[in-house]
Amino acid sequence: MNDQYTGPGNTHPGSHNGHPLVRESREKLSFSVNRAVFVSRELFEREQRAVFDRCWIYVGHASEIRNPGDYRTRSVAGRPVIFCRDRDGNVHGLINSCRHRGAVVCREREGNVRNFYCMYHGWTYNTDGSLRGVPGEDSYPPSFDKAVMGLAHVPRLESYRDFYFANFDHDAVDLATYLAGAKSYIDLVVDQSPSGRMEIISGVQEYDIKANWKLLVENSVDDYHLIATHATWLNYMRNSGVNVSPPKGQLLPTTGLGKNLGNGHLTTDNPNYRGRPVARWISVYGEDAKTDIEAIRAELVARLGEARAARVADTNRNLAIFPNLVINDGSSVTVRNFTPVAPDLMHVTAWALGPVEETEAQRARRLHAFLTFYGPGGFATPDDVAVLECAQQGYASWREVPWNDLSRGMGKNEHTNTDEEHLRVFWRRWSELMEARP
Amino acid sequence: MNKPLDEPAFPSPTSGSVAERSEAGWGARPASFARGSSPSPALPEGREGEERRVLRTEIEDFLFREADLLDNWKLDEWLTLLTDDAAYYVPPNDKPDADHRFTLFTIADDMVRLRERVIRLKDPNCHAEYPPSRTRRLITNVRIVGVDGETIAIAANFAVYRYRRGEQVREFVGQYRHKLRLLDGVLKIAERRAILDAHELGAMGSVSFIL
Repeated sequence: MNDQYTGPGNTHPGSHNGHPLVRESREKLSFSVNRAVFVSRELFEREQRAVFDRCWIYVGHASEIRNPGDYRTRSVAGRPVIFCRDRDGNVHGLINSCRHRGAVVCREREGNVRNFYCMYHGWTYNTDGSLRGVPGEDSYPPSFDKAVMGLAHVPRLESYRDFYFANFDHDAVDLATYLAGAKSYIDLVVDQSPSGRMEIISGVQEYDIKANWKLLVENSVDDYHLIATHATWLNYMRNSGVNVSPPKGQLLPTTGLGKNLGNGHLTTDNPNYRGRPVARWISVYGEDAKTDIEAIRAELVARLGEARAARVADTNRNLAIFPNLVINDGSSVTVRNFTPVAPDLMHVTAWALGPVEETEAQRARRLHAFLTFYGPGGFATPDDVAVLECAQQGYASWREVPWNDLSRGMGKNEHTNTDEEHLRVFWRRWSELMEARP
Repeated sequence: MNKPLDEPAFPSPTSGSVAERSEAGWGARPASFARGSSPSPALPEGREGEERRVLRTEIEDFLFREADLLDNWKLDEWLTLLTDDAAYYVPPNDKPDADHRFTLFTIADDMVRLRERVIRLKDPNCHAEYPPSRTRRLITNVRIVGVDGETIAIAANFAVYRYRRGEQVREFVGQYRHKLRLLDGVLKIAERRAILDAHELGAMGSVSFIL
């Protein structure tokens, strides 16, 4: 739980068939990941217990359940969960399974209800989970106690700045402690709203990637891949009048950092060249957006001061919150959650996030910018998906070629965004948890 | 289906000899256009002012030709079917009737970005579509659902099968709701909307080709 990794210097704990899962040598400056971690069913099951049952897993955002009775149904660490606000305004994470025979009591994606109704025998539950009605109640024995037969709650539900997380480990550290250095990067997101209120924008992107979920963690923060994987996006930027030429000797137009935020969380932190709705104009937004973005910038400066405004508006951050939430804070803000389904399959759910105060024009600009790069119809994400699926296909040869190399940038004092130190942060934490399994 | 077509995509025509709705339903009769004071080159000399009637079969032929261009990756030629101010939308699966200005879509291209999309799709560095997918589009249930001036709102069902080497087929099923416009007597696409029926993209994965 320290900010800096202080574990053993050579081989990381955790193994598969006697081979380490992650292998690091501080002397030789080498770091490799066993490809079995992407294909093994046994490791997949172990991961569910050792990682997903012990970490704080993203559930949803407060803005999605604004009003009493609002709900969203989600899959959280493999469990069906109702994320809802009860009649008194309290937020709950209810296990979506009738206490009688287990059927889910809410089948819709989202909505507003007075109560949840089980269509099997007609049991009804209040929006705080308590059992409201049981048809033919008089036939139950005296020992039957309605008061303890409400829908189960996720063991822990906590929020940080409107982002709600669940934990299935009663003994887990609190969310704020868990988030460690990631909190200040969430603050940079929320500071973009004058009132400190961000909202999930209507419309969700849900798509499968036929690859192991850990590959998407890597890919989300890996700036080394940009040139090869996203050549067509860079070309689009160039055609739109954005300067994407790297300075001599550099890979990308700007050089940023890859940072360890503790507890397996990590981020890139890059000087912006891709534009930001809040608040840095580029030609893609069109001339008529210039004044408006200047006004957004002026509000930031007035509210936060020059230095903090520049911190918010002049850097891009791709933040990975261990294990499976990514917030890309750049040309728009994306909230991307991914759920492992099998060793070679994940479900991805992605939303756009924006300040509640945005005008129609600002909101439209944000969404337009989002789609330029991100999502299943964007100019970049489909190529990421293709690359990850190709990697997964390659791992069929994991016995012959057992190791992925992640040594890039080892031995340097400062780690850039195109190095792999921040990726190693994820892997060290992951292997630590895999060894410490209950 | 949660996307009924009870209401036409346009307000009822208010004047002139534009198409009349009949009890027989949309598509049973042609959409007609008074050329009025802007004579159409498509009409022979001396016949200015006559109606330019668009039959459903003409719409079908147009959609079939478009499908053929897309299935054969003749994307530059496909672009010529669009007006200069055209838009291309794929709404999100959970909000099929939403407005792209307030809702995160899967695709919401103006013509500038659509031209860039074609540039990207022709580039071998477009990894999701290189080598290009093999696609086959089946288009049925074509209807004219509304007429406003020179613009015709149409609806058609589609099934697009996408094949890539070594992969299971991916099926994209849904409804097109386009706005076609008569420009100098020639049909063009002014707005192209592909609405998927599935509740999520799921196994379809990406919409990396033109749907």
